[in-house]
Amino acid sequence: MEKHEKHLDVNLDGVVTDREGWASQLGLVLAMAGNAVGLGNFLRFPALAARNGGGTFMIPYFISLLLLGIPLMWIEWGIGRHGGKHGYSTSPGMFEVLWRNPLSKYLGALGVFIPLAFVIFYTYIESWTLGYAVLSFSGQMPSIAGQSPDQAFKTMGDFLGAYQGTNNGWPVSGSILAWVFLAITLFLNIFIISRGIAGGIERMAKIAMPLLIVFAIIVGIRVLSLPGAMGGIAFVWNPDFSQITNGATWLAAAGQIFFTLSLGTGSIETYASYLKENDDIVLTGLATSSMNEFCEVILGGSIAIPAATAFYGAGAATAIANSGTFNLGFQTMPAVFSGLPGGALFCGIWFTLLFFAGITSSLALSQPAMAFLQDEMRLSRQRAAMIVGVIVFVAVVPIVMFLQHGYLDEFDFWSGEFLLLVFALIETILFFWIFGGRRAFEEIKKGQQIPLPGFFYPIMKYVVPILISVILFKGTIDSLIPRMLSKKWVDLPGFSKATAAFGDRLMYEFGLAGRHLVSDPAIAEQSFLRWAARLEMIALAAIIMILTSIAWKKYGRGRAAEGAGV
Amino acid sequence: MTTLLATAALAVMLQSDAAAKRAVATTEMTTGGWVFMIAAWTFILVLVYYTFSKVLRGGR
Repeated sequence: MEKHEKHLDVNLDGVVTDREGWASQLGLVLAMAGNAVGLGNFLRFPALAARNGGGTFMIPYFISLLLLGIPLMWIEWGIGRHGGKHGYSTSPGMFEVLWRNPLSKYLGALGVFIPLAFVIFYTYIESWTLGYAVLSFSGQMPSIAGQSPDQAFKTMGDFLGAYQGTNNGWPVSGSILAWVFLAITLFLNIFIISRGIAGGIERMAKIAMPLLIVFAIIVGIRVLSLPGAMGGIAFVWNPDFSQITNGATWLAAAGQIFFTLSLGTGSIETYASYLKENDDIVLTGLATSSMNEFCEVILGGSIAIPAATAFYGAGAATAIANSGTFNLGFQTMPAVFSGLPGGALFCGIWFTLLFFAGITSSLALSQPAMAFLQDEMRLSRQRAAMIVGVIVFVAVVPIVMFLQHGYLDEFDFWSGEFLLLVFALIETILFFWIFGGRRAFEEIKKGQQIPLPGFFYPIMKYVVPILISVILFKGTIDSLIPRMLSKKWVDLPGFSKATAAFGDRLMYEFGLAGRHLVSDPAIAEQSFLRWAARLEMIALAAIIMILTSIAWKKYGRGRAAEGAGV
Repeated sequence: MTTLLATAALAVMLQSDAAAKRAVATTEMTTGGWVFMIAAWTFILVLVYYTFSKVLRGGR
């Protein structure tokens, strides 16, 4: 790849552009890996592995990586680079190049909406890691001296509640600290994206990713030196072969691969659009995936669960693994570190590495909106960054204020889970079925630095969309329907999942046997604010679609795609 | 792929070992646990080395 931070270029449609670009292939790989590596690598993966068969979880995990993760990543890189050579940095234009139909740009608008909605709530969570890092380094975290592990866990829970302002006795949450660190985090994000691709995002990735790895190694070594920590490693890795025939284990593995690689967000396409036509994407995509797996399996698997097991004992390992990502990261880990000599330092390092994992992801999630405003609305980089900052700030206010009423959870479900699968399915169908499977495969292979084996063609064309559809169907049954109806699944009397035959267990996982829906008062109570969150997201999506329509009419976007589709 | 196949074969061989030790699985690393961990770590480290050596050798 040539050095091309900013250059005048002639795209395939004969239009002279001054599109930005990556300064180096390594910088691109680190930025892409930064996009993929997030809080889930360190908190979600180890708990999921421990719950789903330990070492045996890695069999469906790696098979999913091979059949879903890496192929879908190449598909997204391919769409992005192909769109970039036609002058598009976001999916409305990219989709129109693939499918010459008036609807395509509106389907593509999802690829601007999803990352923007995602970054709105993600920035708030990221700000907690920054706040906790600063509080840890400055010795402001609560002391748990003399407390039992259970008391320590509760102390940290109360502290988190005070930080978020959810236990202030008021109907709205938020604390001064939470607002201050949110403002700082948002400012940092906006400042970096306003510096551009090479000068901002790439430079940040080159600093943050190596530091993240060094910090994770330091914390990992400290954790593994604790008495009893190997019990946690055993909990994560000891195989439970009964799980290998469990459909839920395979679905959990496929889901984890999908989400850990940040697929379906639209951000990979935008990053890849800054490549040149013959820049490699096969090797760089594989390098990105391998770095994400290094951070997830080797580093992530060696920190949180072993630390929790060392502190709480092996008997509590299951409860800890089931306690959820936030509890593990923001309650269990500070409690573990606060009981150690020099614990404040290690706690600070832990939250700093989480902050680096978070900010490299939020920068990637912000870039599609930035690119859309710059390329389609013809705004300057600084003005686009300012507008993205204002949108995120305005939209995050209700998330901060109604945190305990499910507002953030609603954003997380739609823009952080469900719509990612929908978008990934749409783009795969557009690229391999409408644009054309062979053309798409040849497009991915252009400039390859390592040969792409031919057996990936049927995987990309058939296996990837089928796997996404299965995960999407399960998500619809498991989460979407109960959520929309304010209900939850409970087991039917007399049905035992443990003793059921394989077929029944598989049906159970899809909610088609052994359980039924009952009213969920907790969700029902939050119904009004959950609908407010949904309306906020619908309004945001509508605005992006209207802007897309305006851009196409006002600036003639779309004409460049003439003749490019099938 | 080879690592995956080797892991699957070993999984079958170690099944009885894992079942017997399941009761203490949360306190001690079993042979199966070591096999899976070392196989997964090796697979990932080889992949990282292979891809990054090519990226860095490209010098771009």
